[in-house]
Parts: sequence; structure tokens; C-alpha cells
Amino acid sequence: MSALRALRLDGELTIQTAADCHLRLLSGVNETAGSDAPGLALDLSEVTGLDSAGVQLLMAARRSLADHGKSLRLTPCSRNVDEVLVTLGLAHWLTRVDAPATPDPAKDCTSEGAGA
Amino acid sequence: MSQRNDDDDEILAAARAGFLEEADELLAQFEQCLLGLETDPQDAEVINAAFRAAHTIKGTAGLFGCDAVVGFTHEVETLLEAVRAGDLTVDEPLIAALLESRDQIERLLEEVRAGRASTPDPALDAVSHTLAARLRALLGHAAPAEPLPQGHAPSPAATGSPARGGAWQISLRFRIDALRNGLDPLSFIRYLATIGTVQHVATLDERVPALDALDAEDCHLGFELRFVSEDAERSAIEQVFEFLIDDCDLTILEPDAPPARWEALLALRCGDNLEARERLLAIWATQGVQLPLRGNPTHPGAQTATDEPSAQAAAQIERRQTPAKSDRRQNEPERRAGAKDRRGDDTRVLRVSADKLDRLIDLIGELVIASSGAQLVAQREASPAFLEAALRIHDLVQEARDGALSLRMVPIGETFARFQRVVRDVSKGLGKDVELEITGGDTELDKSMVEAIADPLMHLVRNSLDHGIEGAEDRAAAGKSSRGRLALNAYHESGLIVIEVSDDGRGLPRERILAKAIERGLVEADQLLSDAEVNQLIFAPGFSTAEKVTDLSGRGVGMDVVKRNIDALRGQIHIASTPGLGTTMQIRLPLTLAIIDGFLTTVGEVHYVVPLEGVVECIETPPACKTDDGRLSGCFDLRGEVLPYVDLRRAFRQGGERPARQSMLLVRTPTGKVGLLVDRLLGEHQTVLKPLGRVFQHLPGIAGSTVLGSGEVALVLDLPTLVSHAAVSHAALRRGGLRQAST
Repeated sequence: MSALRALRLDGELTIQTAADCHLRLLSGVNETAGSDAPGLALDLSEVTGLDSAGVQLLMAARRSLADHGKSLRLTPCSRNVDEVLVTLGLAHWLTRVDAPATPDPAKDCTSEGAGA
Repeated sequence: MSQRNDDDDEILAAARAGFLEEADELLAQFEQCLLGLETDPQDAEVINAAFRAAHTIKGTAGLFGCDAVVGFTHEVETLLEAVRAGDLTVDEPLIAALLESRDQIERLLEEVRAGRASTPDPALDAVSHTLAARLRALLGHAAPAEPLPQGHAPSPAATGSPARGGAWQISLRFRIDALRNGLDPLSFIRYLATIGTVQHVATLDERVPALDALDAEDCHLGFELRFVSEDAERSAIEQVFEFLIDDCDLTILEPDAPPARWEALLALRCGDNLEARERLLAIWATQGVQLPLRGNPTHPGAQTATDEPSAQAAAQIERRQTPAKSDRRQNEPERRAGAKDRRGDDTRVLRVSADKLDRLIDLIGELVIASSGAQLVAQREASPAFLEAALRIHDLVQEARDGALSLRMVPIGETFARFQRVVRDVSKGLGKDVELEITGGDTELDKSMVEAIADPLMHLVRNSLDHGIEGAEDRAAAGKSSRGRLALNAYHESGLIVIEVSDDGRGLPRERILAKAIERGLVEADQLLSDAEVNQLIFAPGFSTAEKVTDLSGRGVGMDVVKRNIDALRGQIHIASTPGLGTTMQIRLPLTLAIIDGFLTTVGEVHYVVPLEGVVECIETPPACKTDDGRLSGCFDLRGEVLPYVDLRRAFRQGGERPARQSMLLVRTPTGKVGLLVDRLLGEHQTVLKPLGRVFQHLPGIAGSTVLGSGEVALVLDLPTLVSHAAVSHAALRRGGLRQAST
């Protein structure tokens, strides 16, 4: 069984850049779907801004992958991304590679944010 | 955007014009808000309004590809969002920067209007950048944003500690264009967290399609929010989403909403889709919604599997509720209906081009004349039925006329509101502290007048700020509060609109004006002048008493222009000034320039129309007017009151036999009541004012002409100029010792 496919997005993931990000995500998703990888790992650590349009893209990507029986994993996210996902009640999307899975990822983010 | 056929271009151009117009209004609103914030920096409603204005400008500018506007306005919006979220406090530098930004947006829009948007002016661009940097710097000063609004943890534990006020359920389903319209659901949720605690957010992805089927600019998002607030009322929550109302389905359930409303919401969101119902119920359950009967997701089939009508189900649950809950439910539809009505008001406004309106008013003018003609024929035919029909038409035409004219009427408040900024900027520039007081903003007058009056008002306001209101030290020395007061007021008075600009400054320096006037040879050194006459001197061309010329006023241009503009509108300007206490400049204007109610009279063969609003009464010619045949004007005694009169025959140098019996029409003028001596009174007459040709435009005493039903021409009197002209000719006659009839 091969590893997750990786895709790194950077800059803004917002309505302004939605069209561009859409294409990049789509190619990532299609590649993943066409491969034997169990899913796609999105590296959002360099994403500076995320808005509802961006979140919707991520949701659509998740759905597309799910349709192919694959998963979407968000590996390290920038603080901005963390914050948005937590605000929108999507903290369960966050999976950390470096930290052991916590029962309550939202709390984890909160405390991290407060410390920064 | 480059390849389009002509039709598209045309549509686009029209839409762009609409956008620019709307943007102007929004900018004005924006400015109002900023100025409002200056006085009350805490006013959340004003902050919201400013944000919305900026936001809408950005949104629509984006539709038209005005990138410069979008880019810059975005910065403004970001700053305002921080203000709105409470991360930034409103202070003077912030307001100043925002005001400058407003001006910059206006300039950028101006570029769009001029069609230069595609080739940006580097200088303008540079300003945008500097200002944007400033805005960002202001943002940077803000205390680092609260890491997270508290209570976001979606832990089910939260449900175990119900807040005192209980939790509201806010159910949002965004419409497909929400993102395109520049709305970001995220920011609304963030904002919501500032007025209370968002206990739980569920972002719904059910409607989000797969990636390859997604248009990234469509919005398919939905949210279920659990919101707790100690004191927030429904209206406060609705306000948060007010701006979304067109782009979002919003349902708010109060903490103690009866199960029937939940059921209704469920039906609204999911229809008959059982799966969807179960999903939503599951979400609600994780959010801690405790529905007495079927809220328990462990056996959701209990109510979803049965196809029983929801009303019946609701009835079942209802029984378990305490009766006290039901009155709240009854109030609900009313309140919602109210909100809908308010929205309806906005959409019921039509934009109509001024040309069409003018054409309509022209037509109605003709109709008025034709209807008078019909009435005249009816009279001549002596046919009662015809006469009755003609009168009925006449009444209807009159109503149609009033209706058409009122279409052109706009409140003067908008014009006044612009002066907030002027007063603020000018007084800051002069180092004075001046407060602007606006009253009578609802007073309506003709749109064309509103536009024409803006410039003269500007001069008067600047003049008051510069010359009228003293500096803080002088004011303190004079025992006045350090804060100057400038007031704009408007009201209707007998068919006129009166606009006043008053200040509590030092008043007009009578001696200095007089000295200057003598020096300039405007008056003789030994001439005795009343205060009013001295005050009128400042309207002489090039007149200025200012010792130093400031960049605002003092160059001696302005006041004469003001006077000329107001004269052109058939208006007048009066000054009342009390040394040390202040000055009031009063502008009196006719309400409209198009159609007036008149009173028809004749002198010899000539018809004269007196504006009806000026007519006080008709009286028999007093004996005093009969004795002296040669006088142009004189005085008579009316029930113990001494009043002046003018003989129209003399005033217009008409020859002809004086009939044995004349009538006097008592009219009101700004200087008091005056009698007009005429031959015959013919009664009320609707008058369509037609301007006189250029040659006759400066005839004193005549405002215009009109066509009677019979086709004859009547002259419309301009009472104020008629009276003042008569007084001058009278004085000239007396001075010359020529007490004889004017020829």
C-alpha cells in the first residue's frame, strides 16, 4: 500500500484565487484518484488566507475523493487555516502528522492559538 | 472582457452608469457613517452601515472589473471589519484615514466613469498604495486579535451547561451567488461571536458538489449555529445577518422555540427527504438541541419514517409544552412580516431618468392649459353638463399635476448631509471646533433646485466658518463656549422653501463693511443705510472685508455669485446679524419652477398672474389709493394697519383708461403685506410657468409667462422684485422732486 499523495498549496485560498486553486486541487484530486494512493495529503502550512470559498473547495475535494474511496488529509496547516477551520466547526478535519491524535483537536488549536 | 458585441457593450455601459450612481450614494452614506463615528465611536449600527457601504462598493465594482476600486476598497473593508469585530477602536487617525480613503475611492470611481480605468494613472495608483499602507499600519496597531472567540469547542459538553438565556439556533443556507456578491459567510460568523458566544458551528457540505462539478465562485454552503448570549435579542441577531438577507435563507429559533417551529425548520430545510432529515437531526443533536419527542437521534425514525403531516406531529408535541410558550409563537409571524415590509420599501423605489420625468411634467403642463381651455368653452356654451365634465377633468388634472410635481420633490437632507464633511474638514483646517446642527432635513423641494442650491450653500457655509465663527480664544474671551455652532435649517413657508445657514459667531462687522463700501464707492459717505441694506452690500461683486485672504474665502468672490445663483432661481437671500451673537443667512426659494397655482387678474387688456400662495385677500380699493391718480405706489390703511400698495398699471407703465371700479389684491412678500392695484380679479388659475425669452429675462417684477385656456398670454408676477423695484422707482421719483406720473 503506497503512501498518501501530497499536494502543497500556498498563498491565499480565497474567492480571489478560487479559480486557480480549483485547478490545482482538481489535478491533485484526479492524480490521487487515478493512483493507488489511499488519499491526498494537503499541505496548507504556507496558506496565508482561507475564506468560505476556500473551505468550500476543500469540501468539494473531500467529496470528490470520497467518491473514489479516497480520503483527504490536511497535514500541517498554517495558523490562519487552523483558526478558520475551528471557527467553522471543521476542527475534526485537522489531522496532525507530528502530534499524536488528540481526542479533541479543537481544544488543541485553541490553546495553540492563545499561546501565539 | 475585451471581445463583446455592441449590444453587450450598451447593456454594460448602462449597468455601469447605474453602478456609478449607486456607488456615489454609497460613498455619501459611507461618509455619513464615518462622521457619525466621530461623534459616537461605539455605535455598532453605524460601523455596520459603513462596512456594508464599503462592502457593496467593492462587490459591485468587482462585477464591472474595476480592479483598482476593488483592491483599494478591500483594504478599507478589512480595516472596518477589524473595527466591527472590536479589534480596533475608532480614533481620530482612523477616521481621518478612512475619510481620505473615501475620497480616494471616489477618485478611482471617477477614473472608471471617465473610461480610464484600463490605463491606470500611476499617480493615483501611488496614492492608493500609500493609503492602503496606512490602513494596514492602522490595522497593525490593533492589539493582536483575540486568538479565538471563546467557546468554539464543539464539545458536546457545552450542551451540558445551558446558558442563562438559553441557546439560539441559527440556520443559514447561502444562495448560489453569495460569494460572487462579495459575502463571506465566515466573516458573519466571526462577527456573530462578538455579540455573544457561538457554541457550536456545523458547516454543512451536503450541497457542495464534487470538485469537478464545482464552480469555485458558487456558494453551496450551509450552517447550523448554536448561539448563546446573555442579552442579545432577536433583532440584534437579525442585524448581524441583515446584509445577507438577499443571499441567504435565514431562520432563527429562539431558545424556547416550541417543537413545532423546529419541525417547520426541518421541513423547510429537508422537505420530505428522510435521509436529509436524519442528518440534520443528527447535527442538531450533536449541537445539544434537545427536542422533547424526536430530537433524540437514537431513534429518529420515530417521526421521520411516518409520513404524517407535520402539523399533526406538531400538535402532539404542543401538548407537552407549557401554554406560556404559545404567545411568543404568535408574535413571531408578525415580526417577520415587519422585516419583510421593510425590505419591500427598498425595492419599491424606482430609478427613472430625469428626462422622462420632465417630459411628463411638460405634458401635464399642456394638459393644464387644455383643461382650462375646455372649461372656458364650457362656460361659453353655457352647458351645465359640459361644465360639470370640464370641472371634473380640471380636478383630476390638478391631482395629476400635484402627483407629477411631487415626483420631482426630494428632501433637502441629503444636500445638508454633505456639509457634515465640509464643516469637519474646513473647521479642522482653520483650527476651530465647530458643530453642525441640521434641522428640517425632510423639507422637500424640486430636484433641480436641490442641485442648484448646493453651490451657494457651500459658499455660505464656508463663509460662516471662516469669517463668522471665531477661534477658540476669541470665543472664550467673548464668553461663548469654545465649540462653535453652525446650523442648517429648512422649512416651508407659504409656498416657499426657506433655507437658513446660521452661526453663533461674531456677526457681520457693520462698520467695516460700510467703510469698505464707501472706499469702493458703492455708497456715498453720508448715506444713511439700514442694517439690512448694509448687510446686502456684501453681495456686491468683489466685495470682501477680510484682512487676509485664506484659501477658503476672502478673495471677494463668492457672495456675489451666491446672490446671482439665488436670483436665477427666483429666490432671495436675507441676512440677519447681531454683532457678537451670530449671523443668519436666509435663502427663500420657490418650491418648483414648473407649475404654480396662480391668481388671475387683469389690468386693461393684459392678464397678470399672481402666485396664489402669496395672496392674502382681495379687498375693495381703499379710498387712499383713489385720490392721487399719479402715484406709482403709496400707503393705505387696512383695519388700522398701514400698508404700502403698488399700482400695477403705473408699475408696468401701461396706458389706457382706468376703470371706474378697481380692485386691490393683498399679497404677502418677504418685507410684509403689500396691496396690488388691478382692474379686475378673475380668480384662481393653474399656471404653467414658461420662461420668458432671453430679452425679457431681466424685466423686474415678471417671473415668466403662461398661456391661458383662451390662448392669450398672461404674465406671471414676481412679487418681491416687483415691490423692491417699485420702491426704488418711487424713491428715485421723490428724490428727483418729480412727483408726477411716470410716463
